[in-house]
Amino acid sequence: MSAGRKLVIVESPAKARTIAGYLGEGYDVEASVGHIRDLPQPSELPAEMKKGPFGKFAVDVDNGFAPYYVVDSDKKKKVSELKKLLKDSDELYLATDEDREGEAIAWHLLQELKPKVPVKRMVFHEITREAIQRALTSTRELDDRLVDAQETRRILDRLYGYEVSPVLWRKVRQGLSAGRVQSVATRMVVERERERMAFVAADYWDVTGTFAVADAGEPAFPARLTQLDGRRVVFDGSAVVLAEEPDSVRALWKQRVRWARGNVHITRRFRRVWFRRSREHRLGSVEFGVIWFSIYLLPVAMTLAAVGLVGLYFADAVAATDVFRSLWWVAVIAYVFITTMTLLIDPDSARRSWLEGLTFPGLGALVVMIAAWFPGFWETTVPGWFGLTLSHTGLVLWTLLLYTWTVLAMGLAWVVKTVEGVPAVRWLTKPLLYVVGFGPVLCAITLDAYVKEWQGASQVWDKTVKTGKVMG
Amino acid sequence: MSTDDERRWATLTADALEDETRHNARGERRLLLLGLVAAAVTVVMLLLHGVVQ
Repeated sequence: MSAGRKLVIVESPAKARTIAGYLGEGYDVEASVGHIRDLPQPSELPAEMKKGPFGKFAVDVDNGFAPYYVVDSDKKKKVSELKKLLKDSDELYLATDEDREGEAIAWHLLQELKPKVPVKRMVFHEITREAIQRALTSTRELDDRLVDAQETRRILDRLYGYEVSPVLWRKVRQGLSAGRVQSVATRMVVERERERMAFVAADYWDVTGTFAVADAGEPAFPARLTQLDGRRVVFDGSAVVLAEEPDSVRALWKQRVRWARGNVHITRRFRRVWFRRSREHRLGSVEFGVIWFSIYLLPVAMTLAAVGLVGLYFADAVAATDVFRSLWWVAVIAYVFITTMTLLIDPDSARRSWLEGLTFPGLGALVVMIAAWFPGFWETTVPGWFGLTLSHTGLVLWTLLLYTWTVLAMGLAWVVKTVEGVPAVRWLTKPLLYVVGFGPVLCAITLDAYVKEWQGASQVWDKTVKTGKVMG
Repeated sequence: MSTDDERRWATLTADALEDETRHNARGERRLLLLGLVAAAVTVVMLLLHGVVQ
């Protein structure tokens, strides 16, 4: 050992030259040129280790992520040089950069050089004579925390590089590498996005009602439904409800009248709201109001149309024909479009119930549509097939029948319901129902609901008998 | 939508999510196409009516 010589190891050769100039005689300043050791590629592992726990990553994942380091092949010469210089020194200064990597380089040097002389960690933040001299006199111990941090970083990089990057190569593009930070950040973003996609915006409502007690002496009481079976009541626009359907016209009538009376209540309850836009709800929007009242007032519109047509017929029969044809043209176009659309949209149901789909407005309404589209078809063409001619009275009656069909259909719907309750003529229910159609039945039910409301009829809830058959 | 459904959505794999999105997009395209077909049928009917008359 050469007395008094000190070995100083820095990271870069340029720094080594400058610092050597400042320190002068008695100091050997050398550069490690970055790291001297690293995790090897698995192919570079010694043969006996390739099948062991270090074989996959050069890290023993099952035992505290212990790393296996080797001296880089291009650094072996450098390590030998440093060892040789160390033999001639009586003190070692590790002057690598004062960051995580620099601290680790110093530690690896220590591990590899195994110095038997005193070791000092020397740090500086500027390369000036004063700073170097100051650093020389205020050395410290190696900071294990920084060394551990670097080792953890290196192991994570290895695991990501070997496990996650290949996924990118397969799924995105060859040559990409997954970062330990970006990968986790991406995962967090993806999870957040999936949560966002899974989130369903919903309005939570309390349903409040005032309940009258059957015994007139007892006062009515208010109650609020906030939970159902222990759960919050929520309106979910995308909910699919598989409902049991009533199995008779009478049961359907009873159920739908209850619903329609509910609509009357709602219309009345929100009477100050309709067609008045508000930021707090959508009930006041024009679009909603038009849809709501188109359905709610359909029986009224149908009745008014029939009355108007009959009145016009007696005033001006030609004008009445024009109006009649125009009104039913709209009906024909709507019928063709809606029927085609509904049959196409659900082919399974269409195959099962195509007849019901086609005859939804009723055979009667279809006859009226033909009358509107092909003037003279029923009055002249059809009787002509049998060599007959329609009398003037017959023609007037037929015309009035066509004009008033919408109202007659609602009346017949009520007859259908009544007939079903009479065992002797119950068989008439089905054919009559096809003639009347489901649409007019619903309109008649709405009309019945108006009447019952007007009469103030009792509203005792009586559960509708269902078949238990679910159509979905 | 129940919590179970939310969890199912949140844990769908990327492929499953893509399938779901594709399926929904297909459904929307189908509805649009059906609307056009139904409109076309209606127009054809109107034209035929014009010819017959």
